[in-house]
Amino acid sequence: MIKEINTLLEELQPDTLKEKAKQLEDMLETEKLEALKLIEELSNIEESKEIQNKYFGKKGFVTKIMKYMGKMSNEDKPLLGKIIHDFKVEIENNLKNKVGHLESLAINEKLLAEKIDITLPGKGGKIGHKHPLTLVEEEIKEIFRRIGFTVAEGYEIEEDYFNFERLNIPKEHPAREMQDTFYLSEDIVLRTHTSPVQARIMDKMHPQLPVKIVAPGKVFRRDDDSTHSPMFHQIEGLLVDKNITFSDLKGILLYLVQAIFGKDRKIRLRPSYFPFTEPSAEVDVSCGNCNQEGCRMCSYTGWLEILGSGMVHPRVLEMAGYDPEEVTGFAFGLGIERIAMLKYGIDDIRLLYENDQRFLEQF
Amino acid sequence: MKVSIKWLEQYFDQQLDSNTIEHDLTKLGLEVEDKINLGDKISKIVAGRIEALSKHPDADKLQICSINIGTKEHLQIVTGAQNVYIGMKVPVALVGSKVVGGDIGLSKLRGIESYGMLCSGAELGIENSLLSEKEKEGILPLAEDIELGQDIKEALALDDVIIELGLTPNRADCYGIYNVAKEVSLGQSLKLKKLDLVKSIIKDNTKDIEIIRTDLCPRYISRIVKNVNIKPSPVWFANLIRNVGIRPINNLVDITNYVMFELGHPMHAFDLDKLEGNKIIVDTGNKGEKFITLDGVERELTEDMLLIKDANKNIALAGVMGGANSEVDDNTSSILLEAASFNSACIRKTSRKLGLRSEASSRFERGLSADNCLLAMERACYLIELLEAGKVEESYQESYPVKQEIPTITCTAKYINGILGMNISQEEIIGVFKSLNFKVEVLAEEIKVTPEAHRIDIQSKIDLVEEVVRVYGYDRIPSTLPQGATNTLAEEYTISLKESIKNQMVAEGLSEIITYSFIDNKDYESIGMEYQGDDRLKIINPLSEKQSYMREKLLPGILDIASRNYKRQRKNIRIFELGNVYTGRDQGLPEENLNLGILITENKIKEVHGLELNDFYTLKGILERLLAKISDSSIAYLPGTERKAFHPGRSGQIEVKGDIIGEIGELHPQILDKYDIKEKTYYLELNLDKLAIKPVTIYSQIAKFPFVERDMAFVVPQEKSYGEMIELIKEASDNKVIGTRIFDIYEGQQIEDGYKSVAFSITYQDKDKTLTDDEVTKLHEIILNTLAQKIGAKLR
Ligand SMILES: [Zn+2]
Repeated sequence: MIKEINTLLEELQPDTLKEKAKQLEDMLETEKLEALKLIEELSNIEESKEIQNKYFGKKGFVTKIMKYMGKMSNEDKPLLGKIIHDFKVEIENNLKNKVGHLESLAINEKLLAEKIDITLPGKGGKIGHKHPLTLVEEEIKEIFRRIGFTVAEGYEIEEDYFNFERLNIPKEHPAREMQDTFYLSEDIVLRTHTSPVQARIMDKMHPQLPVKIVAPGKVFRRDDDSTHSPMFHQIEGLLVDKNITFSDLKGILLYLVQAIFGKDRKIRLRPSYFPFTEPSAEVDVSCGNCNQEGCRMCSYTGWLEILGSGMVHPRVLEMAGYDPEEVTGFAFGLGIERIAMLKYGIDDIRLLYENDQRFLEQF
Repeated sequence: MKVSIKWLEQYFDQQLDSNTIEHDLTKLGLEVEDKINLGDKISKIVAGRIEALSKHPDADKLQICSINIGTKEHLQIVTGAQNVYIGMKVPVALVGSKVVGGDIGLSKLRGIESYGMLCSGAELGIENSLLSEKEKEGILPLAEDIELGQDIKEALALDDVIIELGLTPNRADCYGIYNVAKEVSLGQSLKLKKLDLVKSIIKDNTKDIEIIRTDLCPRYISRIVKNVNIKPSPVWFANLIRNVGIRPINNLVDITNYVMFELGHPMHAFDLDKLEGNKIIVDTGNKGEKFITLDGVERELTEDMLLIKDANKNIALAGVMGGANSEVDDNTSSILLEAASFNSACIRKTSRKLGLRSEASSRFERGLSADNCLLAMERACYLIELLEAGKVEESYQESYPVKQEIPTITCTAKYINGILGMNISQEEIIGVFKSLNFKVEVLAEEIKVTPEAHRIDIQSKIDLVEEVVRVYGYDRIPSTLPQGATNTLAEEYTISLKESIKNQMVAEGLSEIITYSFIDNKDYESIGMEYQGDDRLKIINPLSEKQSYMREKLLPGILDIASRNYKRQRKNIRIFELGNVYTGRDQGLPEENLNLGILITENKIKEVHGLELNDFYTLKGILERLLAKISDSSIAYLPGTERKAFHPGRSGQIEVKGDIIGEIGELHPQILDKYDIKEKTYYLELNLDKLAIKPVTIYSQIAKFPFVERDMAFVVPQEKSYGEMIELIKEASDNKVIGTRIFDIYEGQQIEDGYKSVAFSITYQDKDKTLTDDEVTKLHEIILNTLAQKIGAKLR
């Protein structure tokens, strides 16, 4: 067709331009379709260079017809200009796309030869694991930080005075037997609970209000079996302020339990006794294992005991210098082991201290 | 504390349901630890009498019994027991019955058919400790007053339910079942029967009883019982005693035990004829004095132990145990009954010192109301007459020098509601106190309350709040959230520091372990630490030698865990612990220091991406990244540690601002050997207290001028360390070296013996201008000259 078009163009006179324009357009269309077909069928970059030359080389077809265009008078140019321009652009674009496609095919072919097995393990070591007791402790600290409690810590080795007397447990008080104590000397003990932090912090804060802390840490009691460890962890909570009530304690405990175990859990408070709180309550959470139908985990009661709590005893406030007529407070203490065991379904407390890496790596 | 439902039912006009009681008591604050259906493993066992006995023709040890179970036909039962005799009443398990240990069917023993089985106590589910020697011999002999054919569960009260209460120290009064019954009546609004008593006339307050130590014995009551007739208690009475866990002995002992369980008040009976001088004296003893208690053991007394004496001798350890010299025996004809109140601390000390804990002492040491002495005495006297154990004298003797004060406490509904965050009306509050049998007097807003005498736990108005809310119901407390001012207490930096250290460790692939804070002294020796005498913190009363010293280092605990994991075929061990270590001080509390210990093993596990062994520098890298994160101080590493735990050539101390804060190195192979670790192991322990200062970051301007990087290779004597070279380079650099990187160390061929070749890349930059080539060359030369002068470096 190129020949015919060339011939036509050569024969083209200004007065025949109009009548030949249609014919030219048809011929160009035919040529275009042919060119596009060739482009479509290209299978490598080398071949594309022929087409490039044929149309866009120095002696190429498009270069030639552009020259004719140059000879045309200005008023004639629009007549053929668009036809020729469209022809040029379409072939140009198609060729460019095709070449781009062929190029990337060629690169990818080369890259595929460098293929690796991406299912092999990654480099570098594995991630480590926090101890489950740390996970629970950090979770509970965060739960309380969110509602404005400050995390505080106390001494693991304490004076008898702070561990007992300041908590309304004088010498010879029967409650001392509830917690069998390790002694370093007559008046220095391994703290049996995190509660001495209550007295320490109140001393530090007095007379400011509120006193609003949670205090995690190690505690020690002379007990060692499948449910007791001579060292374990507690978190103490204390809020002392004006107008703090037992119902506030219940509200906070419900918030805590639902934050740890989920919104669907309920709590139950049972009257109990601690020398440093009154009224005191043992707190149970509804058993999530059986949905309170009763199972082995909850001894068929539907409830799991998780913490002790109560209103700060007026004597304890007094000893810290606060006036119990003006100020009230609540306190609670929970065993981190107990929570971890419930949360992760651990059935023997000793697993937590064996530190078997196969155990630790599950958390 | 065991409570029998049948026992409780005596105080009510109706039967009780154990589930309801469990629920109510829990709600009221008496914790139900266990609930036991006594006879749930047995059925179809009846009382029978052996009418005839004959030898089994084919078995020496078997006897054929003819048993009357109240029906016309007698049963033929073969037994292997030897304690059977004609006329003996026995439990008979019929064909189709259940005993503890199995089902009973028709059986043939050596050709003779046996229509059931005679039972031992154990087969009925009765604990061995509740049986007398005679009852333990074989088949359980039944008391005469049990009817033939009667169901054994009914006859022995094995259809009872026992509730085990875990009592808190404030409710020691509930060691008396009658006081538990008061709680039961509270829960179910049941009417409680009054106890039957023998009322008495007082005779003389002081003549026969002399209390010297009135501080230790506020009240002492005695009463004489004559014509004592000691015999077994009736079955119904013995059953109750047995069901709360006490072995029935005889009517007199059973009565004192019964009263102790009913009212929580222990009593004691002396053989009156063995007492001299018609006098009871309550006083402390003398140091070194010897006294033989009822159990036949000679006890050495101290001067703070309280004793009961007659005119001439000690007759009892007050509240703990009576003496052998005044013991009631088969020949006793008159007794002196004691109901007294003793100081709880004194009883506890005595019982602890002697290692002698009795049912009585465990009650006295919890604190008992003195007011109850008379009630206990009058109740015991009633039972003595009921059980025909003797003739009670009409009068009693008493000394009551220190009256128990029962407080009258004033509170208001406003106060109570203020603590509870509730709105309980005054009427309801008064109702609660009345239901508790407390005396109430109302003056407008004020409620004046006098508790019952046995409730010695009620001392102040907060105790009243507790009573109100426990009776009103904890489940009726609403849930609210506290309102109030903002918390001003700032969190200590250490707390978040610990969290970020743990995060960093985990990112390094280390797993956290938690070990006990107490260790074995041997652990120190096995890690090569010298024993330092007595200054190590020792627990006075450890659970075992293995847990007797407070740790001064984390290493023993961590090494122990590493060893355990290694023994479990774990090869790649990467663990850390963050926790306190303790050292003693001359005065006050010991010091608690926060330490971090990290242990990694060499890790010889082959992996697809190639094997890179962990070494000293792996561990040091972990430390460097940690310190870069938590500290802005510069760290120095001083070769060598004093500790024998480390490889002497591959370890060192870590120094920050002139303080040694830790050690790092390869553990000594001999130490590892002791722990059965057969791989090179690296360990560091760091004290974090000096690092617990929050680094302050201030931005410094990024340099505007280009830097120049130049390599430098030289030979130095082998023993010169990288640390020294870096120091010298810095010194000579006129602040224009902003970075150094060592990229090669070489010893061997082409290098003179005793020397090593090192190659550095040094980065030069001036913060004020662009360095020219000449300037850099000059600096480079200065550095090299310094190295040459100071450590004999030679350019390669
Ligand atoms: Zn359950």
